[in-house]
Amino acid sequence: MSKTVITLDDPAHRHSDTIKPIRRFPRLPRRFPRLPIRRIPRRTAEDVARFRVAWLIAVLEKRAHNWIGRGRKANLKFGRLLLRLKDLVGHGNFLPYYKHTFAKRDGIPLRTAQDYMKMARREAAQYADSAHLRQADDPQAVEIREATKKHRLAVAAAKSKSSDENSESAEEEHHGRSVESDESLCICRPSVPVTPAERTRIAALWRSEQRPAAEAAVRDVLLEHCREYEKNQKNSGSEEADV
Amino acid sequence: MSNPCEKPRTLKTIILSRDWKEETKGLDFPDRTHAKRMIDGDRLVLTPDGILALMLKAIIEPSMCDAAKTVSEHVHGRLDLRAAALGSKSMPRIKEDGTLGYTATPDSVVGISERDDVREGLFGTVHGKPPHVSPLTRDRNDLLLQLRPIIERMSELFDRYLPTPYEFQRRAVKSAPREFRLWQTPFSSAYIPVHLRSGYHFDGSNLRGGMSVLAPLGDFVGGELILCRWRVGFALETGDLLIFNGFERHGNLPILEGDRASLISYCVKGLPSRT
Repeated sequence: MSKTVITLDDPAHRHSDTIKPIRRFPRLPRRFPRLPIRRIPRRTAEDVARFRVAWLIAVLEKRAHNWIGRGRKANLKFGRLLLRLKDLVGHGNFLPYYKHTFAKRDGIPLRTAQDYMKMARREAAQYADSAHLRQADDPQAVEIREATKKHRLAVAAAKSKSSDENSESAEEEHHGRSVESDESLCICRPSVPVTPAERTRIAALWRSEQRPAAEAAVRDVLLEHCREYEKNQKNSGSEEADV
Repeated sequence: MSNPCEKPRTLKTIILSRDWKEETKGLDFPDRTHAKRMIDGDRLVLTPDGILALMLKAIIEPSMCDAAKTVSEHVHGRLDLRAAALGSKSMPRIKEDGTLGYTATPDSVVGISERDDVREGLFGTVHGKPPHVSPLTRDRNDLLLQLRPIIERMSELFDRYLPTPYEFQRRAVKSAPREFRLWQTPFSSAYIPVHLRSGYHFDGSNLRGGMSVLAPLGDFVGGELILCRWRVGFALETGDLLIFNGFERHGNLPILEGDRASLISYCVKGLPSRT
């Protein structure tokens, strides 16, 4: 069978009877149901700008946190190094050393460095795991440990006792009472109002060699007044009793 | 026959980088578990801070050790001012009337140490304000003279193996008056503890930057020296020499058998100048 070639110039083309119908292939069955079309509400330019700003803020926040973490790590490391340097430069030398080496050059104040060192110490203490390092338990160590503990308690007890006694004696002194026996001497300071000029004169007398004599005279005068007062008190007491 | 102490030595180096300072803060007495590594040979131990210790095995002649051991039998000092070395703390004494006295090692702790025949003797300079020559040096100079060969040998080894700290220490001692020096050595003092099982302490009165040189004496088992910060221990025997940094916390394990004494030579801080 010879092959028919149809060209536009072919007169047979003009007759529809001779034109062969186009064969359509049958549609393939759909395997999956058609997905619903998502309708996105139309955004204005302002919305776009707002979304963009929000996204940018989120990204920058994330970066900032990242850098904070890195900075914290760096500060910790710096603190650790400073602690080691402090050990090495020796007691009393660290302050001038730090000022000369870091404070001037890098502009990190000493207080900040001390904070970093504190952070490093805290971190080291936090992660220090001494659970596997047990205390020595040989008899001598145990005995000495116990003896030290007992002595510490005894010292604490003695200290508290002495502080109690001190406070009692201070209180008694405050109230003008004497804790000593009758024979012993103690100091009594009566507050007598005087003019400044008189005070200067008394001070000069007190500095002179006549002070003991003056003190004795003052004491006698005061005691004489005491006697009179006690006498008056007795008399008034007996009068009240008569009444 | 050549001297076995003079044999050529190969020093192995150990570098310790893990610092256990925080973990070991609360420990008062050394325990075997505190040392992860027990060193028993010619070793140089380094840390990030520098030289920690140098151990040399069987390097001091037995005759010198014997002479020093004889001296250790004549020292009878009480450790009432070395509370930290005993593993205790300096605390105020309690007088008979219940008041507090001067600060020293608690009597009960001193009693325990006396019961165990723990003694000490210090020759040379005593750290203080001002530094002074110890009474034992004045009273028993003959004993110090007996120690001279071993101290000079320690000095020679110190110079041979660690010349820089040696020179530093020597310079400090050289500038002090003659009575504060131990001959031509870099040491100002020689300390002999006997039967001491020490708690963790550090030698705060030593010259900073200097080293302590330790030679164990006697026939004993145990008593290893532990440096807790770096968790390293040194199993020492008579004739060995340990040059170590006394500023690191150290202490020794209990002596299990025998008599042990040690000779520690060092330089105290704050030595007066000759000028």
